[in-house]
Amino acid sequence: MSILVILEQRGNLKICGLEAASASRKVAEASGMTLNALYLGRAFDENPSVLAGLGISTLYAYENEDLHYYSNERYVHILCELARELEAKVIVCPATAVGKELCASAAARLQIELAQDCVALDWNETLKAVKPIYAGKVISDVSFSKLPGLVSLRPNTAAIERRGEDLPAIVRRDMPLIPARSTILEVAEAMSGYVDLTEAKIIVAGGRGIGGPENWPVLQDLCEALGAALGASRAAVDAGWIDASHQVGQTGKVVCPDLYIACGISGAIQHLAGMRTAKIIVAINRDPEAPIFQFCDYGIVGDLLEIVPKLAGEIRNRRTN
Amino acid sequence: MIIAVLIKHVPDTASVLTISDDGKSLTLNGIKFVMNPYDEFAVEEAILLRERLGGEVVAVCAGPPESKETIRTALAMGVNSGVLISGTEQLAGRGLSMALAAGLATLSPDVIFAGKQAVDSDGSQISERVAELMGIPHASCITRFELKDGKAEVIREVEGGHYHLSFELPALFTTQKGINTPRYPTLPNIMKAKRATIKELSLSDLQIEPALLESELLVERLAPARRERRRQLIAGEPLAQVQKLYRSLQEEDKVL
Amino acid sequence: MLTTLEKVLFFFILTGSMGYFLWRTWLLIRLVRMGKRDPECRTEHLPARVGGMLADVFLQRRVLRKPVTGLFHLLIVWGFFVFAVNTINHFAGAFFPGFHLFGETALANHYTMLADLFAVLILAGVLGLAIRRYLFRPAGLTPRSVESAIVFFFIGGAMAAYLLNNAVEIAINTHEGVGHHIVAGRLAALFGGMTEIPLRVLGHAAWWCDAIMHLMLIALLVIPTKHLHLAAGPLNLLFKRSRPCAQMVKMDLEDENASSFGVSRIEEFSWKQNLDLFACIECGRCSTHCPTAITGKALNPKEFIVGLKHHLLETGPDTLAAQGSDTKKDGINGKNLIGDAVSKDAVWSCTTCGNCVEHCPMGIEHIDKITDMRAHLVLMQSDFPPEASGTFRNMETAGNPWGFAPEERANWAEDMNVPVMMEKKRADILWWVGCSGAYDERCKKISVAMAKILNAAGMDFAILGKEERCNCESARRLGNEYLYQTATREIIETLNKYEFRRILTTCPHCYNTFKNEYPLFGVDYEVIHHSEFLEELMAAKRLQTVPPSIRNTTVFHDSCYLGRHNGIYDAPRKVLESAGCALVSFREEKKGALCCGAGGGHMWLDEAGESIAGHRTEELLSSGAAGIAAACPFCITMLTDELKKSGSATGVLDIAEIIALHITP
Repeated sequence: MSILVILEQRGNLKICGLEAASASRKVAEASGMTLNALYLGRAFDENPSVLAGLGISTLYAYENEDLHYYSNERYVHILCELARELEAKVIVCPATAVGKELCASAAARLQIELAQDCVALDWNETLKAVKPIYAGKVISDVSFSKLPGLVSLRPNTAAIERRGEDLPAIVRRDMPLIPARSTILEVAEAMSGYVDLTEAKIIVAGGRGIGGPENWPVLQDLCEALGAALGASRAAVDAGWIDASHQVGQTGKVVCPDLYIACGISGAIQHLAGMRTAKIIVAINRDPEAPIFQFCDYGIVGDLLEIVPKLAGEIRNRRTN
Repeated sequence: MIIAVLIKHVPDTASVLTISDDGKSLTLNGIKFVMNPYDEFAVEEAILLRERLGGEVVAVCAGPPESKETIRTALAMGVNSGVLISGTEQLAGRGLSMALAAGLATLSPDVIFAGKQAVDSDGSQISERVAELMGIPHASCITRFELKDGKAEVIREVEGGHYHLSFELPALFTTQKGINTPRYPTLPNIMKAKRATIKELSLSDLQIEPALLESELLVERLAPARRERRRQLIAGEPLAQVQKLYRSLQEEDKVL
Repeated sequence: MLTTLEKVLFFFILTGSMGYFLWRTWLLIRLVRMGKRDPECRTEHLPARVGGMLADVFLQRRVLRKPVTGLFHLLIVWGFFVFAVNTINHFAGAFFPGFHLFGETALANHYTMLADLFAVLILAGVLGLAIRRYLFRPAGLTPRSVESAIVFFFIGGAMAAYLLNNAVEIAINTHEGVGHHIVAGRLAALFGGMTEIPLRVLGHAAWWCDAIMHLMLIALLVIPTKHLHLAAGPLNLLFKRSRPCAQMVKMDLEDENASSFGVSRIEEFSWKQNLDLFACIECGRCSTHCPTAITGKALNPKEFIVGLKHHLLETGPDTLAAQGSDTKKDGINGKNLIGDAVSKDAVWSCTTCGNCVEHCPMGIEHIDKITDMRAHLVLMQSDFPPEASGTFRNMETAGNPWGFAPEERANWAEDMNVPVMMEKKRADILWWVGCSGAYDERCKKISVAMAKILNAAGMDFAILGKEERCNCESARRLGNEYLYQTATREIIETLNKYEFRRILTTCPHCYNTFKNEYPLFGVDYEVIHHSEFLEELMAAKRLQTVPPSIRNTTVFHDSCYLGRHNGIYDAPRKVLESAGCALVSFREEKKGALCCGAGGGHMWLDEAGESIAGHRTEELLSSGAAGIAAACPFCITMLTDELKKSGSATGVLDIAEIIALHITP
């Protein structure tokens, strides 16, 4: 009986996969199962120390140039074959865009249940998971009455835990790939510095309080540090400081980020209508009476031209350390 | 060409939800239900495809009898007909997708659209599972769709980029927000939708044994997530303020 | 006096002209009647209507709103009636020389004096108006209008020809009753030196001049030029609107025979809407007072009406011809109503403020045409400004325009003594808080103030709380009749559960729809706006107020839906005075107050170009008052935003907030 965790790669292994491994280890220890990992991609030539101390017993690396980019049919085929081979009772995958899709396909093929986008995993006689539902308004504790079971783990919810330096054994496999009914025409990385507003996870928005269009670079710097999209209130757009495509609000874009940082935005109801579903709202405004302070999670009364650069600096400091 | 759209009848996201006394379910009385917002993009994409290349759009929905309202919404937007698969209220991902796959199989669709996720379960799995069960290729989170020479060319989103893919039909695609602008129903279509007959398929019609579909993923407990805004003002010197903010966002809220 | 040849010639010209006149008149009548049945019974209270029309025509009530211009026009109008007799005399006189309607009585002589006098007065009138139009070029009038020049020419010409004709006749000494031609008689001296033959020739020429000028004037009516207002105007005033100004028609959306809703083709207007177009004199009073025209947006009400008029004249005859056959081409002559005759942008620009209707001397109803077209665009084509889409959806599913949780609608009243109908079941006053008052941070303060007042006055009241949902009045103004009617049915169902004497509301839009539009849905609620209610309270001394130590100068902003649309101007002012405010009066107030820009659904739309609210804020600030008071959440939101933008220290308060400040605790 084993647990299989899928390590997602983008050239190098992604952090979310390592997080998933740490979360899986907790389940492995509680259940007494072995933890194995699956890698699909080009030849695995990363420094193996990246996998040190994670508790992975064996890494199965399926190496093929044509596996570098995600191909649903091929990935599902390999995953299901390996899961069956290893008699995996629990399969864990990062809940990224491709990860979720991969899980759903695999679950259907294996005819098992899938708990998608979980924030915690546990084991108590069976696999248990915690997942948010209803746009995060309700937390659901679920358990699998039958195993095998599949879970996908939301990135940035588990901490990477390393104990000691033990490395996993690496089994490299180069098996022939099944034909796929879809072809990859092109793979594009997003233009650097540009994140689309509509489904952005983090948004930094500026309003009349930024003082003038010459101050956008201050916010854009924070966007870069965060990997965030840039938004604006109607006041800023009306003043001609920025293009309407950045407008967040009732007559602009309605957004649902995890984090919304409102800089120099008063918080008029039309603006709130566009971002009220944000998971966390941070307000930075000079005016302590601004309505947005009634509607935020964290508020800083102060000069955004001073606060924002410091925040960007703090983020960069912490990330490099 | 038969274009199918998978739609779901879900509570409106603005609603405040209360957890029932048993602690395992939600009290949904008095809550306003709507078509899953992501499904609107799927319906619109299906209708756009029909307007471009002809064919018929069928909306398929699995759910309680009230789901017919959502099918009527799809009809009001302009789909040609609707099908309700009944008896699926207690099913989870595995069983629900099997019922839907069986229902869709009766239509032999060339293209299937669906929304990328349902805003109640936030699962993003049913549609993909349906495709797998039907043995057809699929892609999730598409932001563009085009039918060229009998092949579907799509752009699908991934973190930090996108893939430009080509698919042989039949295939299934789940739509991301922004792929199009869902049309507002016109009054004549609303009226027509009110009078339309919606086909109903039960599990026995689909020759599925209900016991096979039973959910193996159980809800042990539901708890409300923090709803009220914290309204926490962070005081102090700017540097201390941003440091405290960073810590809260990173460690407590985990949004960074 | 005329030769036989002349008589024969004139006979044919006269009958030809009359034929043309009758033919064109018949066409114009048919074009008007091409319209559908009007939702209002326009012949109700007929004697009062006739009286009103006669007063408007003879006393020139509406035109005299501009006193000097009105006076010149009045001379022409009275002159027209006076000269009617002369015209008959003149034409009949071609065949029966010396014909006079009043025979040879003293009346005939008095008439002649009057006619001569009026010939001069009319000329003075024409001159005055022409100078105003072409020299002073006031805003609103079409610059360098050729049509007006032609009409001036023929009116003036006819008068000059009349005088010339009579002067020459007197000179030839063939005219009886010469002594009564007080003007022409004097002019006759000019021709004293002429010999007989040239004089006779001149006499004939002058006669013909007179005849042709008059015939042209009659023809100009029915070509038509705006001179048609002579006939269409009084008729339009006879049939003028008597139901509430801001009451929209309740469309029968269940009508299975209806192939279309709203208006997209000219023949879908009602006959009254068509008559409006012929009554328009293109004076431009609508445009000079229209908030969108003033701020340079796509809608100019005068151009709008004139555009529709031209469309009716251009495509109407073909439409009439096509009726009976099944051919219904989309846009006859390739011209569509919406898009060609008037632009879509113009249709969407309107804020339904009613300044056009208020200032129009001819009783034209601009707003209904616009909302009818919007209804077609929304209901039939889902073609509306995209930013409204989200608002419609929010109103439908969340019961408020912003999509906030319906369950949170009463949160503003937490920890306050505000009873809820669900528990209380009955109350004297059902207080309709409205969406802004429930969800908007700024407007919540108005609700808090109102609650304080209601409790201080010991009123028996309750709110609907979570059961309240947006009445979608603004969606209706945007053309979404279906959403409005769905909401109305839901609200009436909720209201029917409870017992209350009257509905109190702090919002003029809610007030207007409950008071004036809900009766069309079969209910009859007594509705009161909080300005009237507070006036009641103050007059009955139900509130203990402390007069302020400083009397602040305050200017009151008249909201469109409170003032112009519902005639409530005094109540809020009395309330402010009783609160100790020193009210400041200024020019753009009461009936002529400018809109804040949020009406007609514009609260939910983007605004291009110059801001209407900015314009209005400037006007209010120019009054010199230290503070602005208003009684509408939309107005307060718009004005507050503008004041903040301009960095002004002046604030806006609702009248309830002002009263609440002075209540003894």
